[in-house]
Amino acid sequence: MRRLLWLGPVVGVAVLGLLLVPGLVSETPASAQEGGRGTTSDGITVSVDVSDVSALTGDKFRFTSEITNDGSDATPPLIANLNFVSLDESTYIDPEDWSPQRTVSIPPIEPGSSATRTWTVNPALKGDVAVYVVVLPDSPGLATASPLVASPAIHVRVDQKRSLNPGGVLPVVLAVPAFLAVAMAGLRVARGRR
Amino acid sequence: MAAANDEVTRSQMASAPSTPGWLVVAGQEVRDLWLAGRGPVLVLAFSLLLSALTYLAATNKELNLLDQKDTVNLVMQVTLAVGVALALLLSADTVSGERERGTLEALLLTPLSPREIALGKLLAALTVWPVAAAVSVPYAWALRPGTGLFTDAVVAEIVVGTLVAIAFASFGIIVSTFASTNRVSLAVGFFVFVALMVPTQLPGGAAKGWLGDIFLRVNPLTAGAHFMDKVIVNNHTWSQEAGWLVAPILAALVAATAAVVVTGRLRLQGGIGR
Repeated sequence: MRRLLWLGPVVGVAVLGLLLVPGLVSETPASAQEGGRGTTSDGITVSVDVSDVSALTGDKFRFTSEITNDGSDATPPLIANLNFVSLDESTYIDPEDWSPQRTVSIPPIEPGSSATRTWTVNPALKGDVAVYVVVLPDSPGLATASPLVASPAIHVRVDQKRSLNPGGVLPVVLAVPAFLAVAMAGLRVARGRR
Repeated sequence: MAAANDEVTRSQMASAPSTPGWLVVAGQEVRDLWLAGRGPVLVLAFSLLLSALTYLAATNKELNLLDQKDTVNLVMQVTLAVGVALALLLSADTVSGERERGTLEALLLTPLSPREIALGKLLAALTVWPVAAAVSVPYAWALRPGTGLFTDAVVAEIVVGTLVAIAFASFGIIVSTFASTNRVSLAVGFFVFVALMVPTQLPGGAAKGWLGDIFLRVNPLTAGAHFMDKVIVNNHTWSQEAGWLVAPILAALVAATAAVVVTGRLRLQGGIGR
């Protein structure tokens, strides 16, 4: 499983590169608001229900991916992996910060059926980020698998949330040192008068 | 303690002959520390540190980079480290400080035994720990995710911190008894503290393996920090993690006993074997 986790982002970057070349992947997002789907010659398609998200740092959002088997045979067991790619070089992405669970196992999907999965994304830093789901066969069939399939990328624009009172701690943060400083000053004054 | 304070101590002993000598010394030292000394300044600096830390932790929590339990644990762990360090450094100054300031001779001329003097000073140095723990409580309350965790966190901090503070303050006074200068005493105390503190900062994998596990369990600081971590972050019960309290308990008992034995040999001059 650890090896697959390592492979996921690498494969994901490669697939995203393919996504940027028109024609290699059957469909790309039609508009800024709609979701889209990716497909392979095996008939597996991955779609997402959103294509464009604006969020503030720390404000979680969810989206749903749907893996559909349009082929004539049942799929092997699959692994779905959530990936993040920074679209501006200044944003550092630590995937663990952006989603608590990024890899799930999908049981075989019968022809004409689909499997859905809801993903939670926590935008941790300001910036433009592409979010997408990659589906690959589970380990026994990985070496002989046809090209992996990825969903269209969701463009996430994250703005910085600014709060002077994060979590409501500001009163305590100011009051405790202030109280101690006043107590200390009072002590000194009292001793000075003696 | 200044020479003037030694006279106060003598007069107090004369006026209250029934009061144990160590209590008189402790009372005078506490007044020196908290009314005229460094105590309030140290605690104010500590509260500023906790304020900055709490604000940053709350910001990270809002970004979902830190779990709420982690933020409470962070404040508790920093309080443990700073509170114990302050107790150690204050106790490391007790005897060697008097020796360096030339006031130890006057103190040894009082009717008190060296052990009583040392015990009183040790107790006074230890008062910094409960004050530090009390200062941390509002911060833990501000970050609390639920009353259950808040109570667990504070109680775990008090128990572990008290044990470790006794161990390190006792060690500090032992070093101070032998050190001929205050600089040596403080340097040795600080070095030992840092050496034992470093393993708590190692990444998780670096302390794995049977040797790493033994070292974590034997070192009272790492064992205490691990206990707090498990109780606060992982919601483990005290009985589940009781094994991690063995090192702090043993360290407190051994160091306090050693301090009692060693300070009985308190002499005007420092060094070993005089």
